[in-house]
Amino acid sequence: MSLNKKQIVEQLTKLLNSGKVVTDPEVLKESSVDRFRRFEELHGVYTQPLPAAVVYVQDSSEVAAVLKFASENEINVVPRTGHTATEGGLETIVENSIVLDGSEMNRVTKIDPYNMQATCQCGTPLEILEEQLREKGFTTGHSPQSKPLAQLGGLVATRSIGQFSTLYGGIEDMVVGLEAVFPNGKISKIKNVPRRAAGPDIRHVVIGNEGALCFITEVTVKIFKFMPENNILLGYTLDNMKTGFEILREVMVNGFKPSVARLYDHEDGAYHFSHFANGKCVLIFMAEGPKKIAEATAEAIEDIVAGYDECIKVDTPYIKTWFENLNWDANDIAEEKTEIIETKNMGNTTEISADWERINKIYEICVERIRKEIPDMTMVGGHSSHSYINGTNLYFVHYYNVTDCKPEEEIKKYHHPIKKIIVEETIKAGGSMCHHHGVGKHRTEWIRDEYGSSYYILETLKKAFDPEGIMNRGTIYPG
Amino acid sequence: MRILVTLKVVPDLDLLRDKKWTIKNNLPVETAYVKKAINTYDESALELALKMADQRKAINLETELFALTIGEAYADLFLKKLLALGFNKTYRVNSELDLRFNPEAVAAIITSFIGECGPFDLIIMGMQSSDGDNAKTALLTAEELAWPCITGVTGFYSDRSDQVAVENISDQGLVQQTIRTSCILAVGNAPSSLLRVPTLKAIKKAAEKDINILTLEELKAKPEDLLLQSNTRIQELETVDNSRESIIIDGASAEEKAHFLYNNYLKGWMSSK
Repeated sequence: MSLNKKQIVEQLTKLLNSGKVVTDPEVLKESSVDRFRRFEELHGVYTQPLPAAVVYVQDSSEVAAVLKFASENEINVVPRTGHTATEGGLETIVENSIVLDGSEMNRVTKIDPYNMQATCQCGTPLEILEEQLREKGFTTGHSPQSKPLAQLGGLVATRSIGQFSTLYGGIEDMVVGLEAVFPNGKISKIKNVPRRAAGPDIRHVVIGNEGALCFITEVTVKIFKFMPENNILLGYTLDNMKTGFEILREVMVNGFKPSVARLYDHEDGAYHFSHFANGKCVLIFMAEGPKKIAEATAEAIEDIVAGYDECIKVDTPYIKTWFENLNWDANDIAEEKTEIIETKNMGNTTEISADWERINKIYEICVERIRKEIPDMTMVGGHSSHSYINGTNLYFVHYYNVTDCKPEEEIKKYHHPIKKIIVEETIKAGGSMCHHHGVGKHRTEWIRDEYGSSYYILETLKKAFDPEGIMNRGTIYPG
Repeated sequence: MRILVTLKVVPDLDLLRDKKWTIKNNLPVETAYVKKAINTYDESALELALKMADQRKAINLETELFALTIGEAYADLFLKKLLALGFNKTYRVNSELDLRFNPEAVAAIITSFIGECGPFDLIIMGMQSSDGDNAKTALLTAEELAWPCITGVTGFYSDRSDQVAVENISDQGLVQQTIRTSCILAVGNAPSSLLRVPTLKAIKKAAEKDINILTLEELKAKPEDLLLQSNTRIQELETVDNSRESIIIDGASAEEKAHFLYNNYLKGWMSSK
């Protein structure tokens, strides 16, 4: 990189028509991190190199111009939209990076009820799209916890998943087509068709690239009929996770498709369901869709659960109130900040997946090791929230009291060792170290182990699409 | 110093939107289905008590902490947490009575409890609970015990066995005073008073300790008499609309937003004064 900060900012300003180049020091500090380093950030400590500018682009041609400029001058670019990443994917590990922000490209460009798809720009908040769809009787079927804050570009870039995934799938099952801009300035549009067998599915080069290959500017997703009046919620308490995994498996392998299938261990259950869990694990299902399908699904699940004596049914309203408050909004984040600052109690999550045979073993060994090996833990538990015919995920939740260490040492003392246990045990057992948060910058040390011999394919994508290595250095690929 | 902190486990009403209210026959909103939490002011009272115990320990003064709640078994989860945080003993007076609008009965039970399980040098309470909002229990208890009571407490410390230095907000502003024990402190909007979180190690250790469960009969309190003490009857329910008209100022930086705010709003108001 031959340009200094001043020159980068000057050049960027010249490149843009209506876009903005922001160099406010506070904005640059906030833009050097994401939620992974929130303990540092909450204490006003910023350890990452600061970017040169945050660039708010207005259209694909501006994205192309910025990327081409960055490529020619070997300037690192960190793409983002909603700024809700949790794994360090938005950290600017290279000084004078450009943070390329698509949040102002936020138009829903087309809702097409006949072909059941909706197209929107990358910065469209999912909640806005969902509200517009619901007014017309449709839904995206996508409901991650970050729905009130996350935007479409970031959701696709991180291979996000929502709470109704067991029926609707992850974002990769929803994306019909998209537009992305590559570091050489090439704008590529993948057309919207139901399916095609014209070579590899190139959508998957873009979905989940975490800004390490390209910048997503537009997304077309499937839409579904919204029939909440048919929703049937079922809840149970039970004694142990192993039984819960068996029930989830039985529901899935017998071909039933509840939208929600969640199993909480007693620790996580105590947090979410203090009004009824009473030290037990909690199992929750929601059947939805056309009335007859929803009823048949719920009935089948009840039959399956009836085969397990330890399950005790919970009245629906207990589950309903919890379910209506599942998503996080700006208020929750503000409250979390206050709690962390005052109590020094810090929580994080690590999500993995594995097949039915291995999932409970991973759960048990990780919880046991974290309890034993990590100091100052206040909670370690988790839940399964996304199930498939061949396995499920586990969302480990870990809290600790940050004791006798500076804010900038918190990750090294607690978060990294916890992640290391979970990731290494999962990979050793044959599972995947990332289920739906992405690799970010803090799981790259295990990326070769995660992929094994198929790392060749992943590595070649980087060489092909980002030969100068300017796209979000240190994300997915070790820096 | 023996300190009793009283707490109430309440439904987290933030989780219950008014559109989802189910009104029972005798008017209370159904809250059984909502996640429970320690009442916010009581949480502050508990944390301030722990802070004072820490402060006294640092100067080699002994402090014994006791916690008391009135209610059903769901409160035990929170009492276990207090044991893990270092409370010496926790008590629950088992009761299914609806005492939300009956601070007279609550004060009577607390007074009976103090008679049975006391003495205590200091009683710390939250100034009101989120489900009753009566703000009377501390004053009524003080009246029954003939103890002094300070309300709106925001902080306190103690370097002697028979007195406490208290900071509270009154109509005159922030007041600092030293008060002899026994006394009651009703904690108000105390800054930095979110309850600390116990470690798993402490939780495991506390699991061996029991919560002391008392019945109303043991405290010589008759449910029918307690219910008669209430001088409040709910006539109707109405939601309070706290929404305010607002404008979100958009801008690329804090500076730009501040300029917009000043030029379009503040400047006009300031020049008109």
